[in-house]
Amino acid sequence: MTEEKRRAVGVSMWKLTWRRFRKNKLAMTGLVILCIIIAIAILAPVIAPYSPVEQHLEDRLQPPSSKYLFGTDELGRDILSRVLYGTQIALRVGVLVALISAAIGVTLGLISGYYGGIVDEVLMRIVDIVWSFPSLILALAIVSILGPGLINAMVAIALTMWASYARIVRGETLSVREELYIEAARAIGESDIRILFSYILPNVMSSILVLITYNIPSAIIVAASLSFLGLGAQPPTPDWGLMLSTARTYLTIAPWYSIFPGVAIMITVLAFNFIGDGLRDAIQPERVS
Amino acid sequence: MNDGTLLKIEDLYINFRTDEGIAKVIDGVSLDIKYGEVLALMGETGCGKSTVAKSILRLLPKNAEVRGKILFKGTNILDLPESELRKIRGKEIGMIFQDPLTALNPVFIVGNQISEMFKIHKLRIKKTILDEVVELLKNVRMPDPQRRYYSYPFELSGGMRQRAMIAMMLAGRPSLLIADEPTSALDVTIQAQILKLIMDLRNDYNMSILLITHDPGVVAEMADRIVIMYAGQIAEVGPVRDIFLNPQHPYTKGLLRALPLGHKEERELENIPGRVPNLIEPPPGCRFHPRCPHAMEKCKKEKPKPVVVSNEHFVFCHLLRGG
Repeated sequence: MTEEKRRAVGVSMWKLTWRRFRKNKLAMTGLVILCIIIAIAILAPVIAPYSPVEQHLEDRLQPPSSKYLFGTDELGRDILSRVLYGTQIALRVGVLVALISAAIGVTLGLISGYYGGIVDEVLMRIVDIVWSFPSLILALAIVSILGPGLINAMVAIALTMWASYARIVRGETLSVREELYIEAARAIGESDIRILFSYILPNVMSSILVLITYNIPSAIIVAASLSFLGLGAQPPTPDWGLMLSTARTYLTIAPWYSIFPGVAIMITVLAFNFIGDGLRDAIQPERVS
Repeated sequence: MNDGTLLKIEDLYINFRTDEGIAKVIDGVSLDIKYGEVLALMGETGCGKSTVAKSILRLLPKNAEVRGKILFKGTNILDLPESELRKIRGKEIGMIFQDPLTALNPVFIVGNQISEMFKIHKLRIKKTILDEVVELLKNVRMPDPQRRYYSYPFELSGGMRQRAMIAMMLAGRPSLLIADEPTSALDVTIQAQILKLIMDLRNDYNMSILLITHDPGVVAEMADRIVIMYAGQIAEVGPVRDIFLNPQHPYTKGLLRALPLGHKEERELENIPGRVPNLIEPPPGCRFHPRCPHAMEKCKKEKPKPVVVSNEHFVFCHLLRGG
């Protein structure tokens, strides 16, 4: 290998991944959109023309105009402001749910794959059960036990989504645990806990990251669906799903009321999916070689 | 207890439970390593030499059943609780592997992996941990040690990776180094360098070495004594000179005849007819008898006991009992 070539590979795996990711136009578009969405979430109080809960009863169900860019709802609230504030909720729900389910699923997957035997058998049968339900139906069942509300909805969604982390991490752990460097780690006196979290976890991290980027948009959709069904966010929260739920009643006379929150959900979910695809493609060749 | 013996393996039997049945991989192996000695464990692939090595650090998979004694400085390693065992692993007994690329964690820089040894075994650090690690890298003659501290394993050549691995093992100043085919994955020119390095370090660090190999060239260059293994049994034990110049066991003779000696004489390479036996249903008695040109009725029934050839030279063969 020439010195030049060696310098080219003389970077960490993450830098290589980023290099490949950057070449993917769709993924970069997703990343740019996501940055804008994050900026909107942070700056919502500054850029929103009205408070999201401020009612203008004289301007109910107004179509888009220069005063209300996205129109108003049945209580005269500015839809643009509500959509902008909704970004905060959507991102919070998506990220928190993904992190909670990752924490549960990754831990169980690591234990299952590393120890095997009866522990593995029991955990994987639980995963099978959780997986056999459509996540919305299971989340619905859990929320109906916990009671409606955004926090309960998030817990419920996390409890339905950890299974995919557990299964994927278990599979990867099974192959990583056979690697010589795991045996070498045991040979120098590392404990099982250290081996799980310092040797196996970093080596399965890339798959977990890809899974998280796919998990965030599905969490957003399921949360919106729960809100739509009245079991998630409660009024007057500016939640996109909740807005769609109310807007349904006025679909024929105020179509803009449904269109804007709907489009907001679509753009956010698409951005995450583009990033997820790009990330997967950027990481995969490294794993194959 | 100090009679100069560092490690003593007594009547080691190892079975593996597999789907096809119980594989009797190690069948009554006894050996010992003295302080400062290089003992080579030699045999073909599958003869159980790596299994013996791994059993010393109890690295065998869960389906292995181990019987016998492995006495390290007088303590039976097989009886130790997990926490005591971890103190021996890496600190008292170091191990280097055949493929140094896959033996290093691919996601961390070399320096961190070597520093890990200081953390696990709470080793004394004189200056900073960086200095200690660079010092170790210097001791294994790693080129450009300062920079190599920050290298990922995939950025290093095979030889450099093995040096990094050795540096890691030196951190704990072990009294025994198990080298499992340390040079088989390396280029011939690098092999010689690594072997020389290991021999130099053995003197500097006062280590005993258990060398696992199938390469008689490596053995001749490094070892004090050889243990020849065949299908989980010991065939012959003795000082290197005695084994090479005066082999007694038919398997040892066959093994040495199967070597290309190059410069010595032009002759056709011989091979030992037959195959390594299936260890799920191993041949009874001496496991070599189906391939042995001198096999007798007795060989099929009785496991041979050691016969003294000369001082320290033993052979496990019925042929020599009578003569």
